[in-house]
Amino acid sequence: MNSAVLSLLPAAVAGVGALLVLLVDLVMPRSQLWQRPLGVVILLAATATVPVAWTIGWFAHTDRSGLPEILASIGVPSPARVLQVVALLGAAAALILLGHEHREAPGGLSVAVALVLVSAAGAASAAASVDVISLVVSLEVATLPAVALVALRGRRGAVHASLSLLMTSLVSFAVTVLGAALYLAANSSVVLSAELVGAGLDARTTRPALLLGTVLLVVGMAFKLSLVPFHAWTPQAYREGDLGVVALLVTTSKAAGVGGILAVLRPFIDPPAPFVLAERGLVLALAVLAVASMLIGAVGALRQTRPLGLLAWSTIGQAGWVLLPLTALTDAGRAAAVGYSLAYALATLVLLAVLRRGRALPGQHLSDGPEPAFSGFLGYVRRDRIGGAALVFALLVLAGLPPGVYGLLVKVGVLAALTAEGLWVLAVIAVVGVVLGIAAYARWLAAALGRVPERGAEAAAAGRTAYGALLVLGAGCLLLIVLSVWPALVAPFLH
Amino acid sequence: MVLSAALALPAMVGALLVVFGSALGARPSRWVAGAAAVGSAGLLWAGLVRGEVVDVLWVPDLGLRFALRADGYSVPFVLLTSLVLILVVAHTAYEVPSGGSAGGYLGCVLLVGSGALTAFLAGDMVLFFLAFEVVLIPMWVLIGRWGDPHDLAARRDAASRFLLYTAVGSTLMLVGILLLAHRRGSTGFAVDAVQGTGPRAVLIVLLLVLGLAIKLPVFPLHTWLPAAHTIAPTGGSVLLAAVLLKLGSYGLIRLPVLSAPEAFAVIAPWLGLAGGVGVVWGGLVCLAESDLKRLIAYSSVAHMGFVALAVSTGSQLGIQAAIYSSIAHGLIASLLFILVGGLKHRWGSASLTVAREPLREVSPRLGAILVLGLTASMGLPGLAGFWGELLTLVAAWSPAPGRPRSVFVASAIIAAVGAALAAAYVVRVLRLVWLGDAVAGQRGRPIVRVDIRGVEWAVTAVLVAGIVWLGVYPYVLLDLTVVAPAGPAVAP
Repeated sequence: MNSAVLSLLPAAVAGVGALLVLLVDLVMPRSQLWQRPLGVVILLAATATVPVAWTIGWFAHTDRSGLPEILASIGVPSPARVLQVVALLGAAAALILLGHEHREAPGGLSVAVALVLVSAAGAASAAASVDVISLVVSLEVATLPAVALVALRGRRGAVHASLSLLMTSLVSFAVTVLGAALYLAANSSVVLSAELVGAGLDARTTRPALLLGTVLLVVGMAFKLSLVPFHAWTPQAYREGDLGVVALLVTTSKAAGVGGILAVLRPFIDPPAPFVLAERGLVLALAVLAVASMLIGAVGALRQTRPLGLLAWSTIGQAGWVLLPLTALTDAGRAAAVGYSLAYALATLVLLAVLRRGRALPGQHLSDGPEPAFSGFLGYVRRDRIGGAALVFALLVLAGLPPGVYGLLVKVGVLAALTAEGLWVLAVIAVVGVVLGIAAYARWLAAALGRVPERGAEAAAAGRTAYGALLVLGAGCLLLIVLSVWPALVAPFLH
Repeated sequence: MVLSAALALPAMVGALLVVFGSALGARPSRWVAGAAAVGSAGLLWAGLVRGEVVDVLWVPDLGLRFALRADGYSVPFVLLTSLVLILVVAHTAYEVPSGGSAGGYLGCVLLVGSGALTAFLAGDMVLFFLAFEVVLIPMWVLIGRWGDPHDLAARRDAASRFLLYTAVGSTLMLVGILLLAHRRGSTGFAVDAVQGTGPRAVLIVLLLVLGLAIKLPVFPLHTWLPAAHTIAPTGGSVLLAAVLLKLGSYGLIRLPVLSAPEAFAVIAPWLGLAGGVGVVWGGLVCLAESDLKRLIAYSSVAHMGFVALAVSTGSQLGIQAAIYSSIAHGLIASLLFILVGGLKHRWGSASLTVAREPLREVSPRLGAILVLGLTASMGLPGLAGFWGELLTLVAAWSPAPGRPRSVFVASAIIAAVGAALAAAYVVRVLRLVWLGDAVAGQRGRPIVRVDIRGVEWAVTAVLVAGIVWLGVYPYVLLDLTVVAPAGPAVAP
């Protein structure tokens, strides 16, 4: 069996799992207890198949019989598998963080869990795509469930948010399909292969169509990643979706988008030996998207007064950071982008878990009304030791400051990828992004580390403990600490 | 191993104190922190005596090695940091700033110390940067949390100014370091220097100098420093002056001067000029400043101007002068900040406009030490400050070949004028605070005798001893920083 086919195994497990959830729901439609555990187990099983598929693919590397020659020559690089893991485990965390209101939503918890599983399947398949058509389809499979999940909350604002999410999704689908069509026209093949792209770029007639097609594909993905100027849906969706849906958006949807961009850029990053490529137009398009997102996202984050608003805008800024190293069009740049996505996903999940935990604590007036401003977190480290420590650590990872060493190392990786290719102008602009980002996160951080307000002093952590949130928080922090001390742990898988 | 342990000890204890410090009382936390600081100093001493070198590949993707080594340039800074760390911990026996638990405060102090020691010992440029960043958050918390309790807005402003300015500086430096590493093919310090004055080499040096000039700070990038110094608690101010600013001077020596000397020569005149102007600027502000703590902060700007000028000359003597000025300033500014912190504690403010009883009558010992500290700061011969300034002026008079001598001579003259201003503002302060001219004739109130004693006395005595020792016996430091002119600038 070919490794490219095997790499779809995780997606298959998650997809079949979604069907399973719906089938079990037919048998016991009343109970609301089994869906989440079952969903998490399915996603863990799907994650377990990633290394299995990898190992089998490794041993069966020479056996390529029964496949078209061009497809057989393509192996899915390991960064895609890291993104698969991020997508699947992120979806599991999303299931854990999913709010209780999904029980009352149409279809109950089963539909919500099935949607998360479908999204995970789509993301896992997008990351492993080797041709344009399956990439476009997988991406839609990955993102449309999020639209439904936002809408299922049923609030008026949620419906608006899901509508705008749906509209952007449709527009991005149209753009992506146009890009795919141009790509197909220029290459006479849907396969994303370095040989074909090399040949297409060499021929004067197909070169413009090929480049335009690639840029349009990237732009289509930019919607999923909420890169500026395609970011408008993000703050609304974050505000209206519940924490679980936001977790899905920051992990699974992001992994799908990054995986898609990597798949599209793969022919430019891994060219066959004799083919050296310097594509200024493509680099410029990537650089403009990345820099605009990084700066506008950070400025937007600076203006926020509430955690989810900050997270939404910081997503936009961090997406710029993910795209930035890809402008180098090198393997080091790709490793930096995937490493950055990993740090971002983990840290944001921890923050979402802290928010979920905060909502379960008494005296935080977080339960029903609008989410609190930063001032609601005054002295949070004193009120909730575990949650506070996790909050500070995760914010520092996002800001890229020790003790969030991994967050800093991935930023160094991004800048190193840029400077190695002589893109020092982008690196110097990124300095502005770093500082704006720190300023944005520092406000939440300052509130959490600040002195406890007098009236909040009695609000000890005596309430119902959100064990799920604690699990996500603990696992996320543990991974980030391990990666901070020993970054070489994942380094080999990023290349 | 010993060196790593010397760095890990304060880091671990610091982290534990930050998390669990409030459960521990003030006294136990002080003993724990003191043990960590003294233990770290002992381990460092052992490691330095044995000439230990650590070198482990840490981040393969970046080629980043966890490499520690010490040479004549780094040892003075390591010793200064170690000493100041112990003194700051000891000083909490006299006063723990309000704003949180003593354990949390001491934890932040230890984390700052551990990060700075790592930076001074780093044998890898990216590790130097990482250690530089480690210092940032604990110091930010020290200023924002334990700073002057009177003014919340000013505290916030000072803390975020410190954080953002330093982040700009360090990230610019990081870009410079990465370009340098790419050019040299290694992130280590002990690699051949970049030759030539091509545009890329000048860009690298420009980024490094800009980044480090914010940290040092060099006029006109100094505006974060007075705010941070004024607001920070006494221990925080001491760490800022004696440790954080020294990261700037050490970085300037280690990175642009030694790693790309020829390209550095291109922008060195500008740095020298900025240094000279900074000396005068700091002196002028000090003449008019009405807050004693802010005044000491501006005198720091002036002293760092001398360091910038010394570094920019590019000669061996210039580097020695820069190190000498840095160490001397570390001791003198620490002493002054502890004294001023004590005065603020006694007076309730550090304003010079309030008429008070003269120190020579109220607390003669404190007054005497203040006289010594201020005259050392002004560069009186026989005290530590003198040699740094003298050596700087001599180095600027004959800069390394390839530099425009006229610019450096002009900068030296400007700096000398600034040094004369220092004498003027020192006399002003002594007249107001020590002699008490302002209150002559209106001494109705009873004199409260609160002289310096106990821990405060011991801490200041150690610093005074250091200042006098370096003043009368400068060779102890000069011998350490001599590197054979023909040999490699950096020992492996």
